Amino acid sequence: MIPGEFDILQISYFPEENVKAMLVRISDVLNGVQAENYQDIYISTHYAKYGKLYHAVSHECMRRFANQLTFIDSDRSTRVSYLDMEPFLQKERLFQICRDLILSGNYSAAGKVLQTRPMGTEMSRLLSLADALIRFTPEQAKPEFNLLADVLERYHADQEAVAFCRGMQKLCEQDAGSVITYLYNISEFYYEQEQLVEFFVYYYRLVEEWVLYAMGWDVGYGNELRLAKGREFSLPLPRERIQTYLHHYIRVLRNERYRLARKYRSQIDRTNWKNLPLSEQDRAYIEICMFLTEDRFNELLELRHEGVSGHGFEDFTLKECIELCGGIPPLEKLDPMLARWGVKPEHNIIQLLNHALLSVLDEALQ
Amino acid sequence: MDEPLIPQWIVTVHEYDDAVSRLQQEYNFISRFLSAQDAQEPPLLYLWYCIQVDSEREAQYWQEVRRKVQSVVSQTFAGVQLRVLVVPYISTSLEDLTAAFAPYIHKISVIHPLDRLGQVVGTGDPAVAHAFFIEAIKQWEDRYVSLYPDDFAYTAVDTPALFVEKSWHSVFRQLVLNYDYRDALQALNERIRLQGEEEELTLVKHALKMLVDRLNFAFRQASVHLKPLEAIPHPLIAQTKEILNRLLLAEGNRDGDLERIAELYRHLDLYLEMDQLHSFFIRFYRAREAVLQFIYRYGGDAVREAPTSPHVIHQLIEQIEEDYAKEELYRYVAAYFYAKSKNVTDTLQLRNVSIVGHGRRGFRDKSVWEKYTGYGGHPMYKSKLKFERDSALVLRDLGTDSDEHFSEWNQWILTQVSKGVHKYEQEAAAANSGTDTTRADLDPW
Repeated sequence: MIPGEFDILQISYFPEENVKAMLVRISDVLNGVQAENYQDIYISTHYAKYGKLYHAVSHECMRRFANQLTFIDSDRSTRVSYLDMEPFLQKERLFQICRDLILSGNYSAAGKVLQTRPMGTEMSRLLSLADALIRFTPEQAKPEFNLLADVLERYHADQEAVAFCRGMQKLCEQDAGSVITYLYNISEFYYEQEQLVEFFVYYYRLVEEWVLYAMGWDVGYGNELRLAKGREFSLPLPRERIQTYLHHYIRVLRNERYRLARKYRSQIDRTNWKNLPLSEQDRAYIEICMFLTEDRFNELLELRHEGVSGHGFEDFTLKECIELCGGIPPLEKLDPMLARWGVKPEHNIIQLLNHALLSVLDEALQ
Repeated sequence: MDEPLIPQWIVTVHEYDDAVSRLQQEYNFISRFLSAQDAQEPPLLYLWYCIQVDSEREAQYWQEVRRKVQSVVSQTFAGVQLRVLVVPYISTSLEDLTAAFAPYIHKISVIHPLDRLGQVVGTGDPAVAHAFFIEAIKQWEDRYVSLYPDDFAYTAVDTPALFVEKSWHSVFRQLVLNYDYRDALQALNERIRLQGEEEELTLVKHALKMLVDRLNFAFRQASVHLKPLEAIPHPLIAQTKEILNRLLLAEGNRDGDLERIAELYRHLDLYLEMDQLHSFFIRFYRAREAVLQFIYRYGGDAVREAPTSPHVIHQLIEQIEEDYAKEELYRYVAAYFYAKSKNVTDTLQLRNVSIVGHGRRGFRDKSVWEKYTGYGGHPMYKSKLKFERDSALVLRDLGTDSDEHFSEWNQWILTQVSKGVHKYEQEAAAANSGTDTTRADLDPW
């Protein structure tokens, strides 16, 4: 066809005809259309009195040449309004769409967009890892941690990052260090997304897990407290039953501070602790105790309880929580302490996963 | 394909029509159609009650309509699961109709992620049915099926997996329909940066900011962002203003306390719809506590201060139990039984040992819904539906209603954006009209 020319196709309407016969007839007419000769195919609602026939033609055209099809809403206004649905997206476009969805954590939406294209199993396995990470069911995607590492290796990621991903498999065994890394990573993600209710919940949990780690303790599968092996320092488990709550840990640390005050026969407070001749372990616990009980930091932790994540309806704004941290984001505030205990994550599993997803996607679209 | 096929039946009415007799006309057709289906366990059918109106109405009005229609059809079709969706529309232009359908079609898609969904051809006014077709095939893709009833049988025509949505518009839609307002806002800013500001798009920007704030419970900020929209005469905006005003009332004000509970349940529904169980659980604990506190405060004749130690939920429940026994409290019994039920308590126990509580467990759909419904065999959509219905009852008992507020905002946003985008495309087309011969030849239409 020469641009500018058009053909009109007519399919007549027989009121008494049964559905099967009608469908066959439509099919026959459309079989005669050599779609590749046309640039666009238009369906007008102009003569849409015959609902069934019109629907059958629309659906059949959609099944055959969706990529060239345009619907015209003619009797409403002079304006031609059309809805286009192109099947064969330009690669860059599809990449762009998925990129946006993946980076914003909409993994299921990205999966949906990709459903209609053969993407290979790697893509869907990585997406299932993403899902497992968000739901915190890593054991459901255990082999995918290695897959992630392999994919990153293939795209020449830094060896440390590759090793980090393999190591994160320990999340399946609820390894304390990996749990801290996870909580740090996911807090970072929600902070960037400005989902502050989520952020404070994970941030609070991060502090809770870090303090547990620092005290030399761990929890078993029944959530019972026990002494961990191979930690630098540790406090004895208290005789009274305590639960795995941060405020219980803080109570233990306070008691430790009183005990140390008796041991060193000196009051220990915010002004003098740095200058006291404390042993290395004692100094470390005093430092944590001071850090956690500092007023503004305490206020920050309290936000979790004051919001809908706890017992209140308090609102959150980014500005406010930066103020409470003395002008820096809350995670940065925590960094020196985590580094001091050797649990500050060097990488972000979610970012690395996104990176791998985008690389695989890019390759699949080549 | 072996996946279940769920028929979608469209009824179009005008607000001045006699709805009951209009529905009665439909009964024969529906029962004839149902009898043609294979005798599966109670068949499921969606009735799309599309109602044309002259002007916008309050969401609550539509809730009421939905409830009425649902009760009328449920009585007629015992043994059939017939669910009603009410879709109001004003104009029958393709654009407006598809925007009206979009959030509901999305909802069905999310509720039935694995099922095939069949439009019953011949139902509904042709213009409405056509808009439904276009929106549904766009969202359901290869799960879309045309169902042609023919005497006592029907013919199903499926759709091959052949297209994906394209372009900025489709990313934006995905983000909005997934309630990801922050990223939608970023996408919009990017578009404005590239193609210039349109009035419609600026309004959408304010709306998105307002919604971001609301999901953070930052209502003061949300009110600020609603301001530029207030001049628009649209019931959704008026209603939102009222909601925000109530949300800003201090704690201890009955209307404010109630609206905050309603808002919390709006969020819960949204996270449930998105299957984001961690976000759901972060808020569910508070929802139950807020309901109990509300009962304690307003359930008797004298308004009381909330108990001083809200941290111990069991004490609060015991106190309320005592007070009911002494008849100091007598209202909101349904909400009380819900909040203290074993189902709710067991479900929340999962939160306590989870990664968002104080433990290291994750969230598996199966165990969550087994706890909530007390039965492991329900399909997920059914369990979610149970949750939604329970919540609706609680809210009604407390004196408010559940609504589709955020879906309505999605619809408003998508309509605005398609207006803005069309304007842009028209201008672009006008600029090119000299060269674009193909389009010019279409003028006869």
